Amino acid sequence: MSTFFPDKKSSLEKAARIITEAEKEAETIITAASKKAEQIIRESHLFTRRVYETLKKNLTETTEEISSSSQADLAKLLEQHQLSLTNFLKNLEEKTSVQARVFQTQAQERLLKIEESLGQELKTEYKNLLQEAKKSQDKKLADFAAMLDKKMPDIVKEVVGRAIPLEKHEEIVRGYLEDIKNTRPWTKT
Amino acid sequence: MDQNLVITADEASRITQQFQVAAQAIYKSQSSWDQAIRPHLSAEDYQRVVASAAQSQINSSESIASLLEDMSQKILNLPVVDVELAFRPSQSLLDDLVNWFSQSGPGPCRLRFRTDYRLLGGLIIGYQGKILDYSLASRLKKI
Repeated sequence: MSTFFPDKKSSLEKAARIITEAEKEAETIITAASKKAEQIIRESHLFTRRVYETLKKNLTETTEEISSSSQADLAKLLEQHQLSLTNFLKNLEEKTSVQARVFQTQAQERLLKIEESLGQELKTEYKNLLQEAKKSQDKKLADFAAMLDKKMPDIVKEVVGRAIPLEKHEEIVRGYLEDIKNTRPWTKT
Repeated sequence: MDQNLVITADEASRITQQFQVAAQAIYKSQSSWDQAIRPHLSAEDYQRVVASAAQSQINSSESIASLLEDMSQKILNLPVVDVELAFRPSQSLLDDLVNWFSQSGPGPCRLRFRTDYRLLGGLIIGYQGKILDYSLASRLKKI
C-alpha cells in the first residue's frame, strides 16, 4: 500500500498541520471575542453606575431646591426623573446588546472564512494525494507491461519453439490485415 | 464530424473530455466562444469545431456549446471494434491500424485495443458479435 502512496504520510502531516493552525487561529478569535464582550459589558456597567450617581446627585439637588414646593409637584418631579432614568438604562442595555451582537457576528464571519479556506486547502491536498497515487499506479502498470514485453519473446519461444522479435510480430499483423481485407468480412452476413 | 471517423478509444476519451471542458468554458467566459474554447482544444480539434460551426452556419455561444456536446456524444456513440494483440503495438502500428480501419473497416468506429500474451502473435478483431481470429495461438491449435 505504502509503495503506491509514497507521499501519503507527508500529505497527511500537512493536512494535520493545516487543521492545528486553523484551530489555533479560531481559538485566538474566540478568546478575543470573549475579551471584547467582557470589556463591553464592564464598560457599560461602569458607565451606568456613573450616570446613576450623577442622576442621583442631580435628583437630591433638585429635591433640595424645591423643598418648598408642594408634595404633589415633588412626586411628579420624582416620577419624571425615575422615568428618564429607566428609559436611559433601557437604551443603554439595548445599545450594549447590539454592540455585542455585532461583534459576535464579526467573529462568526471570520471563523466561517477560516473554515472555508481550511476546506479548500484540504481539498487541494486530497486532490494532490490522488494525483500522486494515480501517477505512482500508472508507473507500476507501465513497468509491469514493460516487463511482460521483455518476457514476450521467451513466452513465444516456449510455445512456438523460436523467439519472434517485435518487428516480426508487427509484420505478421500487417500481413493478416491484408488477408482480412481480401475476405471483405464486414459485408458478409 | 468526419464521415468515416476511426479513432482509438483513448483518443476518443481525450477528445470528448476536452470538448466538454471547452463547452463549460463558453458558459463561464465573458469573451467570444472561439477565445473561450481555444485553450482547451488541440489545434486540430479546434479547426474541426470551427469547420463544423461554419458548415452548420452557427455562431452564437449557446449553439457552439451545444455543437461541442453533440460532437462528444457522436464520438461516444461510435460502434466499438475490439482489437486484441499479443503485444503492445508501436505508435507506427497503431497509426497503420487506424488507417486500415478507415479504408477497409466496417465504417466509423472506436478502436479499443487490448493486449493478451496468450495470442502469441497475430490479432483478433471483434465487431458486433463477429470474431475474426487471426491469432498465432489459434493457428497452432489447428496444426
